[in-house]
Amino acid sequence: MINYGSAPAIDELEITIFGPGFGEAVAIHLGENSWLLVDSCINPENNEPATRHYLDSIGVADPSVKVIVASHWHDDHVRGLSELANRYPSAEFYYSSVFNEKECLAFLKAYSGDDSLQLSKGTQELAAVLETHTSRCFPAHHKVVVFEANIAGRSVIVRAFSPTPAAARQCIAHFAQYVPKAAGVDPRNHAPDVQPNAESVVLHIEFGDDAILLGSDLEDQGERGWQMLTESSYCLSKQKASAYKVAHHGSKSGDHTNIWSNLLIGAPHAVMTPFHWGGNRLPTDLDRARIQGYTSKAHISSNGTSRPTLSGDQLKTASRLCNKLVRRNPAFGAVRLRRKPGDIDWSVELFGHASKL
Amino acid sequence: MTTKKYSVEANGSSIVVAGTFAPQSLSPDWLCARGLIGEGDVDAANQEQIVVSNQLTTFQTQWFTLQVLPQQLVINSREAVTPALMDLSVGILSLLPSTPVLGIGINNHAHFKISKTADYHKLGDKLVPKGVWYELYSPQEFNAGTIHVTVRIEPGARPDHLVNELHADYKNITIQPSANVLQGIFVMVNDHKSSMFANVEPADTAPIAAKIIADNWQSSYDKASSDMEQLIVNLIQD
Amino acid sequence: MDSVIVSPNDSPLPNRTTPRDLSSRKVELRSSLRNKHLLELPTLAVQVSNERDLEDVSPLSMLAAHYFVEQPKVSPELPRYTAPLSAMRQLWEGTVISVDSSTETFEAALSPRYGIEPPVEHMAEIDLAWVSSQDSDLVKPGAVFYLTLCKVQSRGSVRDSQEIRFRRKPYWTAEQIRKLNQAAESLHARLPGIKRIDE
Repeated sequence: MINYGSAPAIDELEITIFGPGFGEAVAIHLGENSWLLVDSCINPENNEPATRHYLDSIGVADPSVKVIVASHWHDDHVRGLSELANRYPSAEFYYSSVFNEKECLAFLKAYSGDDSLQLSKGTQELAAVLETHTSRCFPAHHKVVVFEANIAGRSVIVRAFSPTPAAARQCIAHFAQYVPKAAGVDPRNHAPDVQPNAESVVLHIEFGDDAILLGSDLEDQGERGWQMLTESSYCLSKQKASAYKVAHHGSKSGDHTNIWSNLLIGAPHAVMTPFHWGGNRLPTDLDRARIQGYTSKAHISSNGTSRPTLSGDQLKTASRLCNKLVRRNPAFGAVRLRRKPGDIDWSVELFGHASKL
Repeated sequence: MTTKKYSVEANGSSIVVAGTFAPQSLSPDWLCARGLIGEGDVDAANQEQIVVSNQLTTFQTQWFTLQVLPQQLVINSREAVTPALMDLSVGILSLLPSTPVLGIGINNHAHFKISKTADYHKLGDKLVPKGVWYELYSPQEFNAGTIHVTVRIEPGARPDHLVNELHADYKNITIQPSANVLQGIFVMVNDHKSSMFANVEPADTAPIAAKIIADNWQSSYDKASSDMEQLIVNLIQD
Repeated sequence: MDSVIVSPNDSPLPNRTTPRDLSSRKVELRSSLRNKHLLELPTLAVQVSNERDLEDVSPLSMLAAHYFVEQPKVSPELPRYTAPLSAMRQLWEGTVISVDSSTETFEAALSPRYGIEPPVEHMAEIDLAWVSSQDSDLVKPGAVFYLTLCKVQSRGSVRDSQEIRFRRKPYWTAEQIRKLNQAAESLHARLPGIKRIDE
């Protein structure tokens, strides 16, 4: 089990990203023991939500979590989210405003409600939080303020940069297609994979003269994605970030040169999680090379082996049907950045199977 | 090399729903038309023994048998146990949401082969000591053997008696010589659930039943599998 | 126990028993039989409440009568199982990631459900040939299936067996569609909405 050491100092900023090969979660210390959690994944070593286990291990009390954000509805970003919402009852919960529309709520209900048991973990998690904690659930979109406070002598503001109005319109229409309309015709076998990730919530966290940018899984899609954000006067007016959670696991579709030139300082710290889903593996070698071209200070939460864990007999049995059997989550790890007032740069700590990119 | 003292030779699973059913409506074609089974299953059912009537419907496919009586629905695994049994029962209940349900049985069984004859007899003697019977019937003239033993396990400590309530949750565990495995023991765990239907309108019980099956089938299977195996271990250990 | 129990040890069903088969036989039903709670009986349970002739009994009682006629007063000889004996070795729940028609394979994420220690999720490529023809239309990204690997004994021989069975959920009914839209409307009305927009 990973030893994370102690909690940050009262005036110390922190961003920690957790991820096995499939899953992503972020914990951010805003100062004075106020925490922001973004997304959720399960630590395969103990089957707990990674951020909850992290906070417990460094001794953070429950009321310290002020905000939980679900940046994205896909399974790899929300596993254990409902457990977080239950565990931190005083935290406000923010979700993509797309799911504040009736058509998208019907989509959630169709694929996670009582009539659709165990069909989709992603929709189930999000639907469970909205139903159980309705009064403290708030939608987030371009220009929404998620959190604001004066902490440790600094003005801390968390803003949502996305989804943009154009993205929201497209997503709502897209989700509406999958809401069953005809009785006796549409089977209920599984939740469709609705792409692309235009409903993602990108967060900008400003701490006085510094900032962190969390890119979620947003992709470059003209006025629905990074193109619009990186040209938006609203986004450009905000503090450039010195730490960046790379969008969409470092993929090319999640990248845009304007992110690095317009929204980030030169050579920022970049953190990311990998994504292993069948033959789809992110970041690719080309992705790594591209990101390294922007900054040498790039780290990834997991770089471990994907060899099967089965015993010889179990592997022989499974191999009757299964070819190319590999572990789905190669290895769990975390990258932690901390910075105190007056520090020149963020300090980097690697846990588990995290490594330099 | 240590030889294992027992092995699981076969296992099976069934789901029983007690309630009110119209057997004639649950035909293979009806299930297929609503997406619950495939056309191959319908063909298989029609090639084997099939009864569809208002008092009894029964048919079998390659992977399950279905029996419906006016007060009971039973789905049994045939060959490999598969969670598709759970999906089928949940699907039927979701299509008949007004079905009054009294209770559910999630049942699992296994046939164990006991490697050594001495362990086989030790198991039987531990379960039902023969000494008590041979005091009544002389072993010189009679042979006493166990047909089967059923024990009910209820939550809560009530050492004086077992409570047979209409709305109670419990497990009945049956152990008996296997009819199919030489030197074998058959164990069955009947996981009975009905407490959640107390104080619920009959017309509202089917969705509850569907959710119980969906939420509990896997854990019931896992627990039954480990309990059955542990029971055998306990009975043959010294 | 007074009720007749058919356990998995027995052949589970009588063969096409009809009232005509039993009409000529009168079976004296034990008057001690009482209604029993059906859930005591894990497989096929039969209840008979009154002592009466067979001509006018329901098929429910026909099944009881069958077993009374066949095995009324002596220890029954349990008939052998007609299906092969199957012992599960591994059970996985899989999700289709992608389908490659050129190689006739599909990629899947596999979540262990039984027989795998440690229970770590894996990914694999599986030939489409393993999917039954009735399930072939179900092989789509996101679809869920069960992969069972077992050992089967039949007629004295032991062989490995494996099956893939795709999850099937029933089609939406009009009532379910109405309920989900109603639930969505209700949730929409209760959600607080945007808290604060930046100026």
